[in-house]
Formats: sequence, structure tokens, C-alpha cells
Amino acid sequence: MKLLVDKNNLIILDKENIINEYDLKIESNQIIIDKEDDIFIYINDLLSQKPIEIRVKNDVKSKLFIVVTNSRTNVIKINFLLENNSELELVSYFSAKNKAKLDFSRSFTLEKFSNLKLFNFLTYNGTLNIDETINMIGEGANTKLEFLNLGKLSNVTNVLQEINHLAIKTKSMISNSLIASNKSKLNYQVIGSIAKGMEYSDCSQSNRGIILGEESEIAVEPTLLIDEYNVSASHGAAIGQIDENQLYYLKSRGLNEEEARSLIIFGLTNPFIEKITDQGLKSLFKRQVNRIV
Amino acid sequence: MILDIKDLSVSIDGNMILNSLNLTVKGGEVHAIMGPNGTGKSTLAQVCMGHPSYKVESGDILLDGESILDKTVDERSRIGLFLAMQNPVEVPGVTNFDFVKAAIQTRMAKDEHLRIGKFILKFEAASEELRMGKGLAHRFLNQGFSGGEKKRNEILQMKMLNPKFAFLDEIDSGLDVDALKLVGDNVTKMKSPDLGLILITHYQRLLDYIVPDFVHIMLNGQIVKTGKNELINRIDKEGYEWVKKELGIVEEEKRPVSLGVCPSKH
Repeated sequence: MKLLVDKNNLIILDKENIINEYDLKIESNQIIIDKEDDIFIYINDLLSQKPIEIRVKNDVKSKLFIVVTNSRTNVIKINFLLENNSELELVSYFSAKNKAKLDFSRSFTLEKFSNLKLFNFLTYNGTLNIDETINMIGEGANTKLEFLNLGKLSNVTNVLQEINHLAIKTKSMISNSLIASNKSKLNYQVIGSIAKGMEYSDCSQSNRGIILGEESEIAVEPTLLIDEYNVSASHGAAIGQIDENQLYYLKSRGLNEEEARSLIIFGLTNPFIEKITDQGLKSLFKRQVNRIV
Repeated sequence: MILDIKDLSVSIDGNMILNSLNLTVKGGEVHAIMGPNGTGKSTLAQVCMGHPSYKVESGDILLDGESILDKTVDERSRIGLFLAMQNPVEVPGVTNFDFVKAAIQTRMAKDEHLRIGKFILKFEAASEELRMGKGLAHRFLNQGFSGGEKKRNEILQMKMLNPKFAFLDEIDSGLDVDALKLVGDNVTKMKSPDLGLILITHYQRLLDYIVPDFVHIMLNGQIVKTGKNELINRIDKEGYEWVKKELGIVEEEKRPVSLGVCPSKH
């Protein structure tokens, strides 16, 4: 893949093989991240259904970029463990050249004061089923989960996001930005739970979606399961066609219909894209958005 | 430069709002439009801007002799009309900087390029003059703005876009004393033969800072009285009842209605 050609810190998971161009520690199929760096993992045509294990060691801060370009029916499972005080910024990009189906599930276990920032950019050709489960088992663990999903053609994306607060003073924030065009369908089930006794925890969800096509669909089911009083929790979903009042306001300053629509769509996508630190991925995401617009 | 509104009648959802309204505004003039709630003041501004909810039943709106009724909202903006909204909309994720830049670029010829340095300087100067704070460029359009900030942001856009005719729809609402003076001073500085101003307001206080050349009173979708400052003072002291009495305007709910005749013995 062109994007990864010049990357020195690259691991390729291809068919049954792990090609470790980065010389990262790999023990019994578990990838150990024990130093601060930007690491790229490229998953292409993976055949093995055995879960991939990734462990971020104590006190390590790392960035991981996962690029998935499966072109065959497949199931991928990855389990992450973030040890005490570790930080992981994980950017994932899912695409397929030819129509495909992918079941992708990840589980994250967060120990004490660990920090997870998860960015998923989805523009998959075919059917993509994603299951992200995050269990915060250590006090003070923190999760930020952000999805930008561009649906086009007749693609279907089904996403289950589940964040479980299983320790005190844990914090989570989910932010989904969804755009459905043509006949695409985006279905999101967003669950935040705070277990009994997990005081001072904070769980928030925000879902925004724009439906561009007459046959496009976005369905979001936000759920909060709160079993403790001394916490804060919130959720919201705003899904619909482009706001006519916003369109009128922008047009009243001289922007034509197309320019106004583009600006509103960029308004939904830019806050996500600006947070991506890898310039190659950032440019790729911007190009993908431009295609939709 | 001349904006001519001729015998304009407008409806919304089948209800007539403007009834054969006439108004002429020339470049360099400041017109104040006052009147009770619901008389069509904001409707006049929105119709001139081309809001799609309103239907022009008859009459015309001419800019320099040419009708603009067939022009879209964005076309009207590009030929020089501006409306500072009563309730500016929030557009999340779109920075003020990107928005104003896009608005200026859309007015440029295809082979013309925006000189970004000059634009930044102008934007920062306007922001400073309206005391919008240094971070304005990166804040999302009207999102998280106080009421006063939203109104000042409307004036900032007006300063950047240099319209020929500008409607300021209740620009004073939500402004504290200091903000009102700031807005008033900024708008007054923009006065020139190349700008016609139409101020829609309920109160005298704005007009202390932006002194109008003409004051119009609107009732029932029409301009019923035109004068100068003496009108403002009288409205401020007495309201609008005296105007209604003078013109014999009786509001529908106050018209006498027969409840029937008393039975009589024969």
C-alpha cells in the first residue's frame, strides 16, 4: 500500500504471517509494545482466525496505526491490554478495493490510570461489522472513542460500541460522526455502562449524522446502563438531512448550494481529521471526504 | 445605488404578512423600521434576502433598477445584500475563519486569488474592533457564543463582506450597554455613500448610536408613517396606540362583534 511504503516501523499481517519489519517484540503471537513510537500495522488478506494480542507495557506511551484492506470474506479479532499508566493512541482505517465482508472485533482491557484514544475512519466497500468492547478495570482509566464513517454506494456498516466502567473514577467519551450517501446503511449500537460502586465515573456519548441520499439510512441506538448514583452520564443523537437553516445562513453570505453543503459536511468531518497526526493518513482521509462531497 | 421595494405583498403558509409595502433606500441612507411585534419587519428583511419560506404574491424588489425576485439567496448576497440575523444559526465544525474566507472567495472572479495575508490582517482587525477575542478565527461558527457575541459576529461578517445594502434585524437585542455602543460605533464607521442601512429595532437606544435619516413605522404589513427623530421619541414615550388611533387602525380582536339581538315582546 502506497501510504505505508516509506514506513520503517511497520508490521504486516498477511495471510498467516506476521512480517515484523520493525523488530517489535512478539511472544506467542502477542505483540509487545514497550517503547514510545509510532507503529504501523497493515492487515491484508488475513486468513488466521486466531485473535491477535497486543500489550502496551506499564508507563509506555505509544501510537498505533492499523490499516485494514481485506478484500476477502474474513474475521479479525484483536485483544488489547493497556497496563498501568500506559497510553495508546490508536488510529484505524478500514477500506476494501472490491466489495467484501469483514467482521472485526476488538476488546480492550484498561488497567489503572491507563489512557486509550481510539480513532476509526470507515469507508469500507461492502459489509463491515465492527465490535469494540472496552473494559476499564483500573481506577482512573480513561477512554476516548471517535468514529468517522463515510457510507457510500450500497455499503453496510454495523457497529457495536460497548464501554464498561468497572472501576472508580473512570472516564469515557464516545463521539460518532456519520455520513450516509447513495444507498448506504449505517447502524450503530452505542452502550455505556457504569457498574455499582464505580463512583465518580463519567460516561458521555455524542452521535451526529447527515443523510445525503434518499435511500441512505443511519440508525443509532444510544444506551446508558447506570447502576451507581455518584456519577455523571449523558448521551445524545442528532441525525437527519442537512439542516435547512444552516444552509440558508451560509447561502445568505454568498455560498451557493454546493459550497454550503460541502462546508457543513467538512464541519462534521474536520474535527476528527484534524486530530490525526500522521500526515499520510490525514491526506488520505481528506481525499475520501472530498469524494463524498 | 438604490433598493426599491414596490407594492410588495408576501405570504407564508397562506397568511398574508406584507401588504403592498413600499420602501426606497438609497446608498448612504440609514432607515429605521419600528413597529409592534408581528407586523412584518423581520419578514421584510428575510424576503429581500430570498428566504424560501415566503411567497411573493405581488410587487417587486429592485436593486439599481433590476428585479431580484428571480435571484437565489446566494446570488442576492453576491450582488450586495446582507442580513444580520435576529437569531444567527450555529454551524458546528466550521470555523469562523473558513466561513468568512469561503464567503469572500465566492465573490471573486475565477482567475482571482485571495491574498491570504491581507485577509488575515483584515479579519484580525475587525475582530479586534468588535472585541471578539483572539481565538475567534478558530472557534466554530456561532457555537458556544453568547447572544452578544453572535450579534457582534454578524457585524464582523458585514465588515468583511462590504455589502451595498444591509438589513440589521434587531441587532441590539441581547447586547449590554457597552456592547451596544461598540456595535453602534462600528456600524456608524461603516456609513458611506456605498452603503444603505435598514435597521429593524424596537428601541430608541440603538438609534442613539446609529442615527437614522428616516424612521418608518410598520403596522399590519405596511409602512404607515415616515418621519425623523421625533417619531422615535414619541414611540418611546407613548408606544404605538397613538399611531393606530391616528390612522383608524382597529386590530381584529378589538373590532366590535355582535353577540346577537335582545329578545323583544310583541
